[in-house]
Amino acid sequence: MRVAIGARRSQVLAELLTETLVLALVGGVLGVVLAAWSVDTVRTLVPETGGRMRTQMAQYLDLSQVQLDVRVLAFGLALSLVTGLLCGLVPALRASRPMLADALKDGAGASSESALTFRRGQARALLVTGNVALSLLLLVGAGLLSRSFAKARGVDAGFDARDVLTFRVQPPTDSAFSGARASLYRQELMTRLAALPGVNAVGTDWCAPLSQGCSGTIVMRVSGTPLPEGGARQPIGVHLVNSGYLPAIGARLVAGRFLSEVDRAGAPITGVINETAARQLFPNGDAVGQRLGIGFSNWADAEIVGVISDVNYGQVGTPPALSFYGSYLQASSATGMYFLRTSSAPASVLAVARQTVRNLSPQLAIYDERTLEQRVASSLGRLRFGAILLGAFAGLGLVLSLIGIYGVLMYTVVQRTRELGIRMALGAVRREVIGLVMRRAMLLTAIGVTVGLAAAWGASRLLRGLVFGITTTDPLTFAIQSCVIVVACALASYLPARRAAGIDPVEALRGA
Amino acid sequence: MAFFRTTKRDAPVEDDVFSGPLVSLRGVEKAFDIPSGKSYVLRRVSLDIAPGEFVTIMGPSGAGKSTLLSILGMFDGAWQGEYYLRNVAVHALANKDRLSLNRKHIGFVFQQYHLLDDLTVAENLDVPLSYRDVPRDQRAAIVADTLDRFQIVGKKDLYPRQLSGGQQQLVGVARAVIAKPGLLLADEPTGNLHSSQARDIMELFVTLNRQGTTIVQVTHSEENAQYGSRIVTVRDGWVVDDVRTGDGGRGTGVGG
Repeated sequence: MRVAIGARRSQVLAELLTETLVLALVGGVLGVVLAAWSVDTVRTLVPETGGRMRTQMAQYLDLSQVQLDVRVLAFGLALSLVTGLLCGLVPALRASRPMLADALKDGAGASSESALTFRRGQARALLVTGNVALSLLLLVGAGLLSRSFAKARGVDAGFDARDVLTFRVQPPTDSAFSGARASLYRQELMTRLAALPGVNAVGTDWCAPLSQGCSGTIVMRVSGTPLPEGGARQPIGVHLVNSGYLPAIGARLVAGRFLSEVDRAGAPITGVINETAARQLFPNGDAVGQRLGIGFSNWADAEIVGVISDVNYGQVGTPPALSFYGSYLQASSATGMYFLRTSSAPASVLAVARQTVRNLSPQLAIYDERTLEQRVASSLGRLRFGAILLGAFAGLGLVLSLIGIYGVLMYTVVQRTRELGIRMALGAVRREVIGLVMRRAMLLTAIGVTVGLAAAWGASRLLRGLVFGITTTDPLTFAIQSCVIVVACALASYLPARRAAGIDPVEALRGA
Repeated sequence: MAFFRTTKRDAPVEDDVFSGPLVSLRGVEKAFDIPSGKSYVLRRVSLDIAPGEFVTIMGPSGAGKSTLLSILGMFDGAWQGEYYLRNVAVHALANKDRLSLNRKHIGFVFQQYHLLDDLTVAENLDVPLSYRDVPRDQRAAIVADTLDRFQIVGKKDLYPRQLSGGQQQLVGVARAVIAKPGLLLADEPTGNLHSSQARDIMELFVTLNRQGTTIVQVTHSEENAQYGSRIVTVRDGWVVDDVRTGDGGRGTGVGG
């Protein structure tokens, strides 16, 4: 119409592009506001990691330091402008070069579906199906990580994390706390802690289960076998602990006994191994009573007095490693972390534990105090972070999909008002009109879901390192997320369909 | 009638017997609320149409002709008064039941043809049948029969935009009568056609009327009005005249 009354193509183009760019910029500004608001949320989600892993993460992707700066704002602005241009240019070029006869004829109602409008319909359908496919891709990813997280939380790590308070004690650098005196201090501290009301067991080790911080495996050999040479030696995780450690963390005794007070300095060297070590090192018989050589060069033969469940010190889901638990009193080793199994809430014991440490020496201080459950949750942080982040993107993608479906269908309903009016005049009832509109939506959704499933199947391999307890092509996840998007799209398409059913045929035909 | 073949099956199918007028309006009014009160489109319209009549409604633009036709076709539910179709009190029916009654007894021809552009001629003819729960195989037979009767078999796969105006209206009429309605309503059916095409359509109406279809058409054309048996004139919402043209006598159904 504008061209018909004399507007130049450039004028029409400028008007249409201005509208699109303004919309894109408003969207961009809203996006920046949303991003600023979500930065704090993202920071709180960053998993806590320790040791080597934290260093690697900090090196490559330290999200705890993430913030909005000029570069981010400039990028957001540029992205908005480019999006506006890309989305607006093609329609603007088309609209500014209409086939006048068709456009005017359409207005008269003689023909409502030219080849041009049909192609535009196809483009919209393509956008909707692409949107649905992308959403499903993200939903499947989020579903895989969520299910992995749930599986990981439910996995048996070989210990009982309930009602266990953990902390480290900072020893002063004073020489008064070195060597044998430090060992005496530790023994005295554990004696006092064990005497506290509500404390059932006190243990000490260098690190906590699932912390991925227990480094330092020591090669060993089975006594009676020839000295290993080179690659024949096997690594084993050595934990020098007190007698209360294994009961404190809730390790399960499989055979023999735990370490006890008799395993002290000067007594024959003893040790406890985990089930995996027992199975691998002594495949033909009972490990209890056997001897194991631990060390690099100076082998110390230890008699195995017990076998316990596999306690996982690495990442959730990794296969159990060989573990050896010896008495710290029989080795010159420092321990760092204390474990208090309590009969009430662990937090309620913290204050008296802190006071006990201070009473022993004002120079000692508790730090890194957390329950064992908190440490376990922290060890799942990477899975949790991935699940939440991908879930957020998936949710956003789903919302965009629904908006897309809703928008396109609403637009289609407006465009098809005449057709729907005719159908109603010819006898179509409300149910049939709703079915007509929703059938199209469901067809687009079905195509989108098919494409999305294929894409998700291919892309899910990228999550191989993050998925736990399920395969990356877990059929249940794929099915559930497909249902989610189908139901959501059906709901989104119902509103336009209901509007279509409410069309007044008289008005629709009069306006045609 | 060059493009319409008469068959025994052309007569409308009505499955029940009734006596009295096919259509009976009593004090029908329609008004819109405006700031200063009400603006009436129809005022106290009372009208009886007997089975087999061919009624033409005439009047100036804005007189209320098309509104009256919409009420007869049950597309418009916001009116007051009484409307009986085959002795069924339409005014007392719920909207759903009105639509059901419409589907059973009424066909509609539009000035703008209103064919569905993305459907072929044959598919367009199939649409009313699909909304009347006619089994698919029967629908195909009925469509084939109708294409034959209206002599448009050669155009069955064409889309509306590939037809002339007259041909489109021919399809529009075929679509309106394919479900064999007892009452055919036509709103300016020749308004977009040139004179020879208009003549053909009117002769088609006469043929259908002779076969038993009651026809009510709205037109501005005096010439087209002469094809009917009765002319009802509406002005400013009032029925001001009701003339029988076939026998030259005046009707008795003038209301208001």
